[in-house]
Amino acid sequence: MKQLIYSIIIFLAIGLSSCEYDNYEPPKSELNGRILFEGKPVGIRQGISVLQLTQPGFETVTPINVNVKQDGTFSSMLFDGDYKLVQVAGNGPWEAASTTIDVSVNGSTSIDVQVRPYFSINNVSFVVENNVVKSSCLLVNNVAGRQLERISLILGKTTIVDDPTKLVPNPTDPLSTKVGTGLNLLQPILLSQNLAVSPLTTTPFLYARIAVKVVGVPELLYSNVFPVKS
Amino acid sequence: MKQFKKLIIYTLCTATLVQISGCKKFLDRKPTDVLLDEQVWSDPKLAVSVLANIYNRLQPTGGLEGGKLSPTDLEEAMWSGGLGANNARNTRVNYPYTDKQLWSYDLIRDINLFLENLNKSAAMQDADRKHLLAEGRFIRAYIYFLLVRSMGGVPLVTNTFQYDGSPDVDALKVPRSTEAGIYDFIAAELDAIKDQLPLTASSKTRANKWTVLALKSQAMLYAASIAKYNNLMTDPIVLPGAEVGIPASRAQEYYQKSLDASKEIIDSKQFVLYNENPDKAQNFYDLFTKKTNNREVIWAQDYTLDGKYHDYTVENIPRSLRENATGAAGVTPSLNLVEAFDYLDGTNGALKIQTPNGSDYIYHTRPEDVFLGKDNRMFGSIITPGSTFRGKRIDIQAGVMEWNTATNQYVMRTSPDLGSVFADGGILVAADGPLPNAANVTNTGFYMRKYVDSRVGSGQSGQGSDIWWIRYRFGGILLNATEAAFELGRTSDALGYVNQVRERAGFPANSLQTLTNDIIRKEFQVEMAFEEQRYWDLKRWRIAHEVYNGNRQAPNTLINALWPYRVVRPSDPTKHNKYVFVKRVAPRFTQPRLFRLGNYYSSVPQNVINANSLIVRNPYH
Repeated sequence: MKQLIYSIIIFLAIGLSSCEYDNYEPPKSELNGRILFEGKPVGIRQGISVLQLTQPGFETVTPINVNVKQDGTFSSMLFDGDYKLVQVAGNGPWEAASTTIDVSVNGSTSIDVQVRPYFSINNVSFVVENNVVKSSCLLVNNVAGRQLERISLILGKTTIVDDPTKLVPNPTDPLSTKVGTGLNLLQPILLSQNLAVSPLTTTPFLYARIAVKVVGVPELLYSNVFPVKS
Repeated sequence: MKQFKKLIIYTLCTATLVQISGCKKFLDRKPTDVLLDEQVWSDPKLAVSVLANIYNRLQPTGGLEGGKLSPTDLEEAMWSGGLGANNARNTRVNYPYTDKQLWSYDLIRDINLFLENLNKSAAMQDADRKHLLAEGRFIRAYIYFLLVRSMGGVPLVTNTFQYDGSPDVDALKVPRSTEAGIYDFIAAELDAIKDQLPLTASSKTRANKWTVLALKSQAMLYAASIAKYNNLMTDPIVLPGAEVGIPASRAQEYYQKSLDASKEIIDSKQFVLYNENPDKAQNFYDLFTKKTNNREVIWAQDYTLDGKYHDYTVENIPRSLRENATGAAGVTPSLNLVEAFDYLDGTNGALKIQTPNGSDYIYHTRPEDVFLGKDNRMFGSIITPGSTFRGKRIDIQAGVMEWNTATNQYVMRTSPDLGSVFADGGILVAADGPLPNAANVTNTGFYMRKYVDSRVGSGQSGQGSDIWWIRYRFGGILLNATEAAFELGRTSDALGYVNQVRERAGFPANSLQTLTNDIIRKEFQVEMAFEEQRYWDLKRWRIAHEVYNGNRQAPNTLINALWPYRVVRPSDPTKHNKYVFVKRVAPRFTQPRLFRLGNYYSSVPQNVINANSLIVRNPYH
């Protein structure tokens, strides 16, 4: 019996001590960045694949996907070294470019990625009046020839708001969406959504965002997020 | 003693020698459990069994086995089965880039080996050799079609490689061909072997002249639509090396080649539309389940109860008919598809469930009355409320609408129990559902009929069904011909083809007088539902990203359900015990479909890119 206990203790000791050899140091250097146009971050749907990191000189060329947040910022934990930050052309709601930025990561590093979105959403303001959320913005076309499909005021029940996960008010408010054809971009675009309809009345939290769909581009452009009920 | 030692040594030596010489015979025995190369390649029967192995590995991306859930990638069906991993199909945010990924170079190598060995073998008769070679090349062309459909231009490998152990492997690296190059290879191969294969369609499962033409009709139509519609996109999907993307100038030529192949099949009179049963709905169902004397089928993947059967029926049979303790109601058709089927008088297929101003329901004496006058193909493909399967009526009812005289409103009564009874003694929730969040009962209010076996016993997992999977059928060829002729400006020819298909479904003769792209596309959608057609159609027409645009207010991003209710309103005999229908988003389906531009071509596996520096990634990945 004693022998058994001793042997268990010995095995445990060996098992625990060998753990040290199995583990790698985790990456410790942080790469922070923003996706910018004219100095302002570009709002997107969280999680779209627009940036990849590769580290040349290794046997395999598997890229590291960079998860970009909805406000256009990103951060990755990396090992120190020289990387290439590649824009995946065509995935973002901006002019396709396959530019590569050389990034040398040594401790905490930050970097800005410049893009040219098809439209910019400027002078955004939100206000809640009489149980109606109202928004105003000015759209600027940055890329000639790109058509606006629609601009909508969308609502979500978490701080992450995008078109696929938005809440669909029933009945829909005709003032919450405007189609792009014939829209005067020189005037501020006013959108509003009545909050007294299901399911908006029952959700404990509510966040609003302006979404802009460009013809032929699956990903939408977004404004910042406004807390309606929080 | 010394002498004795010597004796022992001599004896041992002799024994060893005897043993060693005997070894030769022992090691030279012919193996009884494997066949040698020269045995296989001198006997046509054995060579055919190699081919049989290759045929068996030609699994379609849809089909009745591994890919049987593929309708749930579309708006035509959703998953109503178990709440495990497959339920992710109802809640996915995007289609993954690996979706429909195919890189079957193990199979291509085996076919190349087959062709090379067959060419070398001296013992094979020339006629046999020629036939088998053509058959192998047909299968190779078919795989290249599946590859190019998923991945765009792939490396074109038509011979086997031997690795000689040298560290320099550059000679073994093959770059991707252009997308057009693969389609041209397919066309050239098919033209070369077309007349070396049997002319009769006596076998529905092996290659013959007609399967070759059917593949050509399909492949050339795909190439043509990519050439045309890709270049009409706001941002055409191309790679600099044209591994993806076909020049618009080639569209006409490809459409013409497709039409020529389709016409050769049509003019041969070898095939007819299946039309044996005066009941048009049953006839359309029989088309898929009757194997004997089925003159519509061109190429099928067959099954037999002697060991090779599938569990499509086990998975998809209506709940009340299931023969297994688990399973059933896996893939259930959507209201989106039901409404895509037009009425036989030519009007739009949207069901009439509310009065025109939306103030009240429309009351139906029997639940099946709401479907009166619909396209018979709908009844042949889908089990709707009140229809019959295996001789049994399938009742689908979500609950009871009880009139509250005080508030002048209906109150919805439901129950979590199938086959439950309401206070008035009538049915509350029918034996076949629907239920909002339960597994293995329909979530949409419909069940699958196409390809589901009506033979009792086919729903048992130990036995299964032997219904075959039709890869090519004459109806599909007529639709290919319709599209190609229409694109080439021969509208009257196109109308002739498509109206035949519609007439078989019960439409009057010449039911269509004009054609548009939308009409043709809808005809593909309803005729070929659940046949692994629409996903690829939406891709080649380059409209998948518009149909599945991630906007939950768009018509086809979510799966819609149709839930029947019985009315309890004794005060109004014109409405009491009648049936009303509620259209809603299927409760288990939560995420709108979002098809990204990167889904038009699946991602090349990373290990392939790592191993071969010449391979380029597909766009958007």
